[in-house]
Amino acid sequence: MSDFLSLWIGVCVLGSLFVCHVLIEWVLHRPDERHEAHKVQYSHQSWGDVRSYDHPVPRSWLYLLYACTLFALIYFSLYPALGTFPGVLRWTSQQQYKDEVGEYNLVYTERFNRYLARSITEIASDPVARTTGQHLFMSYCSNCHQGAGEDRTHYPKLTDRDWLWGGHPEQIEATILHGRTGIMPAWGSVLGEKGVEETASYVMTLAGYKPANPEEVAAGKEHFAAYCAFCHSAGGRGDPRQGAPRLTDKTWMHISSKDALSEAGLEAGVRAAIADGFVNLMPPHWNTLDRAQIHVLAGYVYSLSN
Amino acid sequence: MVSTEALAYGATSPRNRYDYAVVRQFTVMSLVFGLLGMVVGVYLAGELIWPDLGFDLPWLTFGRLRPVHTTLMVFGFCGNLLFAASYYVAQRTCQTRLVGGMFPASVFWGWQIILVLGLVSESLGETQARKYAEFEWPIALFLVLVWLVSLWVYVATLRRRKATPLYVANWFFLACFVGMALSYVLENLLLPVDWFGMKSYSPFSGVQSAMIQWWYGHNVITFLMNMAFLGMMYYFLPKQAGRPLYSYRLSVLHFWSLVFLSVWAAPNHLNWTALPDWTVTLGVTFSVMLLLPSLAGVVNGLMTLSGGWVQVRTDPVLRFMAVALVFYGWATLEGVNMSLQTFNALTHYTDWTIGHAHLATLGWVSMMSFGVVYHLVPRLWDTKLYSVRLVEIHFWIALFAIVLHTAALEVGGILQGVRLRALDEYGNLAYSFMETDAFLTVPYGLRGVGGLLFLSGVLIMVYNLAVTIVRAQRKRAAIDARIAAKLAVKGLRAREGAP
Ligand code: HEC
Ligand code: HEC
Repeated sequence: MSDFLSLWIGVCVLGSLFVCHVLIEWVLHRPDERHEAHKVQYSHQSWGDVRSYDHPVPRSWLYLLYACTLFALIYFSLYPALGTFPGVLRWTSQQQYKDEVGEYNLVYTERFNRYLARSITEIASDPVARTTGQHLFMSYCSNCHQGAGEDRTHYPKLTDRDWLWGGHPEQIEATILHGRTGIMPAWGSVLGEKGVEETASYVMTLAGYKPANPEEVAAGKEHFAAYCAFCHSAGGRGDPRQGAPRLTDKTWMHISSKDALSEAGLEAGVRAAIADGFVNLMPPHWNTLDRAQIHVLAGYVYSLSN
Repeated sequence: MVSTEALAYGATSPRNRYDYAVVRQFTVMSLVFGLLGMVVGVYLAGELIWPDLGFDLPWLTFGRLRPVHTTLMVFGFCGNLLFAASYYVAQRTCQTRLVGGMFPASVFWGWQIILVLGLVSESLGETQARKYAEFEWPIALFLVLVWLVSLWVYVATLRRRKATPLYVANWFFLACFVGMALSYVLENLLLPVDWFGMKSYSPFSGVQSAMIQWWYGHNVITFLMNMAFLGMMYYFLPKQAGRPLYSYRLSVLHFWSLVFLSVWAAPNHLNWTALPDWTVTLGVTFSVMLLLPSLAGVVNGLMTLSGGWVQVRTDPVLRFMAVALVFYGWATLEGVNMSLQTFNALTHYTDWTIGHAHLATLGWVSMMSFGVVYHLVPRLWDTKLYSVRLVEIHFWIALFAIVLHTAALEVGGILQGVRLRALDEYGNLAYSFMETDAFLTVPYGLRGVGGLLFLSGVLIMVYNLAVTIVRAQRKRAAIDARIAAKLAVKGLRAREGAP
């Protein structure tokens, strides 16, 4: 801020306080009041159909006026208000923020870091730590994963033992720390419409449905061995190294639980999955959370299924 | 030929001395828009409880309806009543007729056209997305024009007065006209994207835009929702009580302290933001000092009634005004508190703010308006209120509704604020965002009930006033017919040469 602007602000602020006071004093000491102090009187004006007394201004109001003015002057000298004048206390909101973060760290960081010394399975079995983890989860993860255990299409369920990237405590912590990107290529153009249908029929048998057309399934099985098995493994057992889901269970991530209820709905979902593929991102957290928080979160997530 | 009206009411009848036609129109439209606005408000309260009430129709969604609600209330209800009251008070206190021939009527029609255009375009999503300044540039330009004409009509009428000092109510109205004009123009300095489209952008950006926006927003509250309604208080309260105003000089102090202090207070809407520290501390200081005008107004109004409290008990119309004044004091006290940084850190971004806003708009603005309208309508139509009992019922319903509405949102808002800040013993946020929000369904429900009650009170009022007006017009038509008949007989006799 330039000096001129700063001066201008100061003059305006103090000036308007001053002018306000001059006006008030002028009104208070209009001649008639000085002569007939405290005497209730009709003002001789009547405005058409309204009239007005001219009672003196209540003392309480005057005291409040002086108190407020004093308050303003003190406040202006303590805090930044008059342009660039920083105030005697040299308070700034940035400094206050830094101080508060410092205080916070003093109280909590050390207490929290104690968790780092404990194993993830230990944390998972400690109710206090679990509550802490839950609070973290609700703040940082629930926007995608919702309250843990709730079903949401395109996001993995964390309460079951069916893992994309592995359910060992270390694997979970790695997932949270570095994030994961699940990529399933789109096979529509490779397999063609018929190929997709055949492969889908085969995948349906993996999920336990009776094949309607055994020939189609046989063709699908060949496709699967050729195009799918190196990710989903032979027989669709899944591969945690690539985040490829197991296809033999009844849990589906990309097919809504409503669609998965009926065979037709499920088959349509599987076909769409094969034809279009996915890119699904679990963001990394090493840059937003600290290690102890991630450690506790891993414990909490682990506890959900163990 | 002698006009039938002059014969019926005599040359001194207020009907003739004053120009009430446009005042009547403004009063009626104020009620119409007020009623509409409250219906929309209740619907919005419903959407907060049942989000599906939007029915996936764009113009029914919360985002579109909310500005429609505020436009209806601020410009439709308050705006029209400002014109009605100021044009009425100016004539009565200056003992003169409204100036300007066709201009008052053009202000009336201009204002209603602006409202309709603005409301339709907001519903279609054509909006600046600036609070209380949603109108896009062509409508904003039109609004400024009409506003200036209305200011001119008002000032020209005041200049016709014979008595020298201006009655204090007129000072307040004048400040409202001038203050709103200045603020509206600065807020709406717009660069149209092209001359044939609606879209335009403000030249301000970032924190400056925020500051201008809230300076304007605060001024709408100060000038339109405080100054204008204080003007009404200063005329209608002594009038309804039939007692002189307590202290003229206190009202002068009230006026000047409000004008000087309030225009500085706007940064208190932007506590804990990127606004420079010095602006915020300035805003806080002047907000605290706003205790002064607030106390002056409350004391002046209530002391006017001292010695006449029986009237407040027996006359519900006066009671509306007196209670409104108490809410004015209460709301400004809350406002002072909310400007303090520490309290603000708890209540900002919670429903407390909405509770506070409605305490002020229902408790102060609406209650005062109801008192004013109940006072105005019988005088404008030269009759008596159809039912004072219904006014009494309206009063108690409205009072209960306000308390319920305010308590629900303010208690809910505090709980929300506490939850938003709560930490567990390891320093993590103890509640997820959903948990700070989902429990509000209960306060929202109570608030919806409060809103519905308030609306039903207004329906009772509109019914009462409508019957009053219709009866007055019927009576007048009957009298007119009788006079016309008499005149005709007289004329007939004259032509027949009878004595
Ligand atoms: C932006 C949304 C988003 C956020 C925020 C997010 N996740 Fe994820 N998460 C995902 C997605 C999507 C996947 C599935 C990745 C895939 O398809 O391979 C996933 C996968 C996971 C997995 C692996 C599941 C498995 O079966 O292997 C774990 C564990 C996990 N998230 C935990 C967390 C935790 C703990 C947090 C909070 C710190 C979190 N996530 C925040 C979107 C998110
Ligand atoms: C490059 C490795 C890869 C190949 C090859 C691959 N997939 Fe996948 N597939 C994945 C991954 C990874 C996912 C999980 C996507 C995610 O993380 O969002 C997946 C998901 C799926 C799903 C959805 C599972 C659910 O829970 O919703 C189906 C069905 C599927 N694959 C079938 C197939 C079929 C059939 C083929 C062969 C035509 C195939 N995949 C080839 C990696 C692969």
